[in-house]
Amino acid sequence: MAEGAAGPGVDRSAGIADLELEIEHLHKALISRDVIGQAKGILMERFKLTADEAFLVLVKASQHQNVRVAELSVTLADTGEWTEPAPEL
Amino acid sequence: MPHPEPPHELEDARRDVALSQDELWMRYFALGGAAMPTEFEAYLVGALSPAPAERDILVHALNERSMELGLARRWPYSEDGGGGGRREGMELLSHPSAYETARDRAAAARANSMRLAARIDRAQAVAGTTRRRAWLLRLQAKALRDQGAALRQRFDEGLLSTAPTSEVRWFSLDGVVGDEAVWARWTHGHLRCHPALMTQARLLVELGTTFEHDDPPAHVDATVTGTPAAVMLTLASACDRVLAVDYSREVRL
Repeated sequence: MAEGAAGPGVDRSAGIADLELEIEHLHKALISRDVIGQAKGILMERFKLTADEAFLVLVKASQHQNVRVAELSVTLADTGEWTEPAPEL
Repeated sequence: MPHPEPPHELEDARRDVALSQDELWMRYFALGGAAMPTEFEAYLVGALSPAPAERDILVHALNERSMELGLARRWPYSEDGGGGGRREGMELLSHPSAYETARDRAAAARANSMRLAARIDRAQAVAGTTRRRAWLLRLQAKALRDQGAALRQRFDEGLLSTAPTSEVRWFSLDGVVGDEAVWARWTHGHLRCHPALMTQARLLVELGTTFEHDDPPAHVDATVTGTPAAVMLTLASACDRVLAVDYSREVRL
């Protein structure tokens, strides 16, 4: 079967572009994941929590302040400041 | 007693916040979720029950998205009783019909897993080809930079002077026009040239292209019949990429 002149090349370019976008998203996700891990570590140490509990503390603060967990984590990891009350778990 | 996840509750939630499974997984992964896409998909359709901590991450990905969209809807975390509340590990579904449903969904998840594996294989093949192409392009770019630097140095040293009295005993040039490899050879006062390169060079001549150089001052019109140095310059400019240039050094050009 005769293929359109631009067909396979265009498909490959689109595939490469999709993969590059996916790699970019994964890269950002890894950075976010890392900083959330740091924030959890800080909370675990500060309030003697498990990792799961530390995540829930971040979630509660996120809902309270209407800020994403990732953004909260960046602030906590950068400054070490935690303005929410000590968690009661 | 904790109850199993209502079927499709998480999948319905995903649809409510208008995210694809891949997009939701990416958000879940960014929040620290540990399940790979296939397992994640099984969580969504109820084929597997996630551990509470994993479910909380998934639910939070949904809730952040809901917040983003300005929706009031929030899904409960494990401590609010979501997913049957806090319990250790995965649970087997006790009711026979639930078991059959779970078995069917597990089969669907396995089929999806195979599709994903095939997709990953294809992606890896494309990525491999892309890496090889990128490597070749980097290699070509480096060769061209080296060629360009050498040509500039010769020009700056006056070796490529294009004064009317200059002479080139011979030169050879290889390059690319479009996707075609082209070449030109000047020996004993005669030019032999690839037709595609000659067409391009004649176009430069017809367009009245000129080449300027400040130090030493030089002004050369594009030509395919003039001095060898001027012809060489015209042919090099006519190439989309110059791969190699060589010429005699015995006489000052």
